[in-house]
Amino acid sequence: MNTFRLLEGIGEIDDRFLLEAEDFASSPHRHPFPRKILLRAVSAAACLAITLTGGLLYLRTTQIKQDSTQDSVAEANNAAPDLRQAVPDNSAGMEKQQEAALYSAETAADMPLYEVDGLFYEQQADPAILKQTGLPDTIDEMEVGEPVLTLEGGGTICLYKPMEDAAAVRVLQSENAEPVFLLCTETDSPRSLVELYGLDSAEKVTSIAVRYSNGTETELDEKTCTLAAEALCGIAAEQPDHNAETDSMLVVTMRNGLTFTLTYSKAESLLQNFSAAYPIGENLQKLLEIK
Amino acid sequence: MDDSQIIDLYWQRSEDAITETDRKYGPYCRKIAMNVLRNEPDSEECVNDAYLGVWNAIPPQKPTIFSAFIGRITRNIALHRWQKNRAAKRGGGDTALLLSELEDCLAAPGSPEDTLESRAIGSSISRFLDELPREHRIIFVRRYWYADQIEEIAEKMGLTVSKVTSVLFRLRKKLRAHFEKEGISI
Repeated sequence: MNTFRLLEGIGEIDDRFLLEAEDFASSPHRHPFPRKILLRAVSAAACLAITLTGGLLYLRTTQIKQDSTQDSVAEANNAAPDLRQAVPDNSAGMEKQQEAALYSAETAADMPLYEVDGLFYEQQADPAILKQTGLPDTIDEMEVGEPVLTLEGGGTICLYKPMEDAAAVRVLQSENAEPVFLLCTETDSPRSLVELYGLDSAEKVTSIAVRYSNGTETELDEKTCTLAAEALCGIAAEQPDHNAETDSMLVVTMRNGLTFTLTYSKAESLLQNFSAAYPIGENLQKLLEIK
Repeated sequence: MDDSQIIDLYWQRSEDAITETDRKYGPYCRKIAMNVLRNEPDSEECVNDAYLGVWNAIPPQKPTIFSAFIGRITRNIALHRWQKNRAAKRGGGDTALLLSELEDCLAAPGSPEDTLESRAIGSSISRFLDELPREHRIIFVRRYWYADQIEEIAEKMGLTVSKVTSVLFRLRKKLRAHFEKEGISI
């Protein structure tokens, strides 16, 4: 496992790929406006032109009131094809909706990927993984919470009521289909344990176990667990360091059942997950060294 | 001056070769070094080392694509400088971020370790790139070879930052699958 070797390997790709990317970088912007926006602008302009032409002809041929012309403009606009299929709740929602559509519109062979506020989610239906995360195999309709994002192709990303404050877990609600879990697998920037799992108070933690590379696991006693949980609550999030060696894993179980793991690097004094590195102080390190 | 003339200067052991290289490729090399190191004095030193590297390599070598040749030398020196800096003190530059992203492409812990030379890995990645649409290929190369920032790539390509992030995410997953298919564990 060495990402640095991979980065070195990328350095050895064929020259033609470098030339292709160089040519691209030195050429003027291919799309001064994103293609989608350009397409919408062109469509809107075409609709407006048709509407105006129709309106003018109508005005010339009939003596009508100005307000009825406005009605016809509105009608023509309503009749124009709408590039957006779903209706967003608000303007901010619309932006999110379009972003999410970009990810889900890829080839069918790819696993759909959804983004909500810089958190990237994948569907997860594997019972083993769900069990490890403290989630049930199926989601009861009553457990589906408030919608957070409406998808262009249909469907809604919603909160999962039992774990509403854990952004790492969401539910995908689609028409004529059972709701499925979405688990966060990547973030655009390091996220704290509060943001990802709602770990804002030691009281929310029921147990912490240290899992060693030989497969053995030691659960911290109640007092140590509380102290460790308090330390985890206020921990800072930094860029992950995937070159750090992993000595053991920390398995944290929350009161709501959610279970997450953090790798522990003794040499680097770091806890890590897919999103961030969490530098730990001497006190927490001492607690984690207890066997 | 075209590249073949610059290469001739190296073969003649003329010090003008360095001057002309710097005139034509100085900004290009500095950008590569800066992208990796995010430190001007280190990048400058790195570019000078790259010129020395080229001076030592030509002759006997006669590169067909000089820009790729010098760019590759600069990148390698910058990466090793970054690694050296990191050993002394954690952090610095965007390389840590690149490394964390590329973690997605590696096999799961516990997989059998095959020792592969960088060139063999490069060949495998070239085969992977060959199968990608041009736009995705450029995004990948700009990000992981040139270490361009995602915002910069998005602006150049007229895409949103989220779109580029999403494409890169998918490409890393695909690369991992490609490595698995080719039986490569890095």
